[in-house]
Amino acid sequence: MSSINNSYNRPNFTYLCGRGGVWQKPCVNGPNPDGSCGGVAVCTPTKSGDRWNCRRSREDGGACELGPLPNGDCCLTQPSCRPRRTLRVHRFRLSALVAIMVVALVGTFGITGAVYFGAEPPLRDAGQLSPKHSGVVADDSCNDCHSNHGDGPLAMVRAVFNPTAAAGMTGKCLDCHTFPGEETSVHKAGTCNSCHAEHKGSDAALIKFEDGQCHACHEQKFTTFASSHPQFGDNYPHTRRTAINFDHNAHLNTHFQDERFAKGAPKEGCISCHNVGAAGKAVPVKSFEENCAACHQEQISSASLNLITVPEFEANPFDAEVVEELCGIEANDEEYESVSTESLNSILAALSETDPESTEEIQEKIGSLLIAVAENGTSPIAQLLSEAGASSQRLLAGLNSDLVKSGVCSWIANKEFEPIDEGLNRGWRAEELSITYTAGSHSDQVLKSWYDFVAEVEDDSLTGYLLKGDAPGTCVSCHSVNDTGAIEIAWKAGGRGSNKLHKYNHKPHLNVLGPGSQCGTCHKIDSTVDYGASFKQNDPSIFKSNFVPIKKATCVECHNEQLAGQDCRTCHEYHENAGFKAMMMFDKNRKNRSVVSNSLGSN
Amino acid sequence: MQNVLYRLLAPTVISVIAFFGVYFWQSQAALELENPQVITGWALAVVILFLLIFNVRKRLSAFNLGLAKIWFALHVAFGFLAIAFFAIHAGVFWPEGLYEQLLAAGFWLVSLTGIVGVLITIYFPKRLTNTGLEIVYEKIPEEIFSLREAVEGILVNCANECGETTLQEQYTQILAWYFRRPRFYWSYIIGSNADRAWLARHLDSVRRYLNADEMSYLDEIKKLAERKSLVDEHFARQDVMKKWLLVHLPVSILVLAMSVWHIILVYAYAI
Repeated sequence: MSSINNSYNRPNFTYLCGRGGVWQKPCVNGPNPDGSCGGVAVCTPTKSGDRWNCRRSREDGGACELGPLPNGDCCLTQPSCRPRRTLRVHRFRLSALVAIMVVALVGTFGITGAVYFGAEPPLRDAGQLSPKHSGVVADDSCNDCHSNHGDGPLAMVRAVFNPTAAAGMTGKCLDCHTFPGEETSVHKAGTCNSCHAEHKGSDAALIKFEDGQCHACHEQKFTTFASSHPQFGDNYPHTRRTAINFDHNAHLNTHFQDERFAKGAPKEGCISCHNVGAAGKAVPVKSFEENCAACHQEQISSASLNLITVPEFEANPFDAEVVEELCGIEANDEEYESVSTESLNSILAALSETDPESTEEIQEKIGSLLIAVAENGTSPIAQLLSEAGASSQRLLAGLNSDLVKSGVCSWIANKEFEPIDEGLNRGWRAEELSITYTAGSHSDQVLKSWYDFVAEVEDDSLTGYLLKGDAPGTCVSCHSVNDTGAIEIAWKAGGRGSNKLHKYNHKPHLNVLGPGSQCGTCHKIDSTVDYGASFKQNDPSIFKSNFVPIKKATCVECHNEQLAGQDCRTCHEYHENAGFKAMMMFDKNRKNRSVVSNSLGSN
Repeated sequence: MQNVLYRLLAPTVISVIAFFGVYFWQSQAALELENPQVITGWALAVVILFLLIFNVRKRLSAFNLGLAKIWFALHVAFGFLAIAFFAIHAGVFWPEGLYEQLLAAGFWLVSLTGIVGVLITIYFPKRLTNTGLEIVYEKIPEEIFSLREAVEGILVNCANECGETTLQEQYTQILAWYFRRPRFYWSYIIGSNADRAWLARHLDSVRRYLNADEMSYLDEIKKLAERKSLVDEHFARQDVMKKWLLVHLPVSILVLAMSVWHIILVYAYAI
């Protein structure tokens, strides 16, 4: 019953007959283009000469008996229908509506949304930050991480065509993060977000880095750590000697075997001296008092720093009237014979730039200096220290100016000073012919300052006097002196300087192996090495390790396909010495303050 | 089905090559610490634009732009390619951020409707062919009117010749509902026989009250009712084949429009 003659019902038309919509017979004419019913009249008569002819189709019964009306209208009419739109029109309308809706929503909640929703329009919300950043970046503070493109939609569109957003973000990252040594590092990524993707939610990893990315640059390719990773180096994991000259082999196998020191021997093995509770990349040693004092405490006070020793004068360099005026001591009339037979001490010689072998210089320079000290106390010495670039406050801390005057007055009167106090031999003292300092305990700040001063000025006489094992305090018998371009004394234990791009955490390994005795699984003492010999010169990179180098095979026992992970980043860092700037904490405090003020405001 | 698969072969091969090409490219970019999402994002954008051209092509029937079946095969294959690109671009099924989630929802919806549409386009015509009837969707109202008119004509003849009103009463009370418009829409979609069961129940229940003459009229009505059943099936299936585009196309436009803002955001803030 379908008919191809009824041709107006095309799906690409705008309207369909309304009668068809209510399941009646659609009329032949169909709707008009404007959507009105075109089927009120059954046909549209045509005029032939002076007669109107009926044009009703044969399907509908052919020409009717009555024929057209005299005015040419069809004689058969029916009520008009309400044509309906085709599906195609509905599709177009829906699509247009959706497009308009998106534009409207983006305009309202994306471009101009800040007007209604504060700093961050909802349709610019890229997602939740990672916990590490959400704790320090305030809500609605896009500018903390993104470059400000300026106000208004046009500024934003301009930013699209000025693609420096990633570089701008990297700059913002560096507001908080620091990468000392990054410029010289082999790892110099262009932008932070190459590897650190943010706005991925609170449970997403902030670092996306795979082994393949390492292999893209590293020439020595391998499949897995266990199968083909290169062998470790000769002294692995160390690249320099320890800060403290401590020979495990000598202590365990020689000193603690001696009955005199046997009671100081570690009872619980490694953990007697190493603080397992603070284990990280290294397992730090316990304090001097816990580990070393039992045997080494007395050494500290065994020798004193000699600040001034009055030297022997060939002739009396001091005017008797001046001495009497300054010190109130009358000079005797005997022929001058210097009360001191000592040589000029190193510190005074260096500070006054006096040749200890030159009697003339001693007469002149030291004589003048002692008169100045007798007149002004410690000020002339402080002056000399300042000229040498040192902090006299630290070097002379606790030195009593009157005590110094008293001592010097005796000497310029060619007499020995009579020490006032014969009690504890600690701190600054005026002795018969010298001013000395004796360290009272480990970590004595005055003596430490003198060592640092001597290391810094690099004067041969001072270095020869202080930077040796039996020098006052005997500091460098244990603390290494390192020459890495500048001479410095390694005051802190640790800092052994393994490769900065290697990472290792002892703690989880200790949990696996068990504390104490299991350290030897990886750390085996090499009893053939004289570790102390490594400290007879000042280059920290020249050394023979106290321990047998750790071999890759030791790690492979666990780090293989079956047991622990063996990704590159399990053991390697990308950045070396990554850190934070202090301002980050201020920003966090600022955020917290704003939260508090907001909550107070809302109350 | 084999023809469809054959037509899909070449576009599928092209899509697979394109996917692995882009995948390799973005993998290399990732290895070199560049942003691989720029590559996958623009690849996805290009594919989405091509998919939308399919709709434009249908409107440009005057121009020789290739066979519609080839365009359809390309549309289907590239649709799956777009899903693959989206997966490696977003990295996750459900991204973070309100706007990205809306965009993902739109994309997954258009993908779902697309897949459903492909299944409909492949499966329903076969079922319609099995009816043995051919009828244009736009002609179905007229066809139903004709069937209704034919049934009512039979009933008039029956009343005139048999002098009984049993069939008329049955038609007025029961069958008129059936012939008024297409019925059992969802029954045809899911492929059940609810319509035939209904007809059998209501035509056979009246048969016992009819004499021999009336029964012949009932048989004629039954034939018309069976044809109406086929027309109804055509209506239901063709209706779904047309109306799923009411969801697919607007959501496609939604994804396209939202993608523009997404690109603006990415270039303004992240690249």
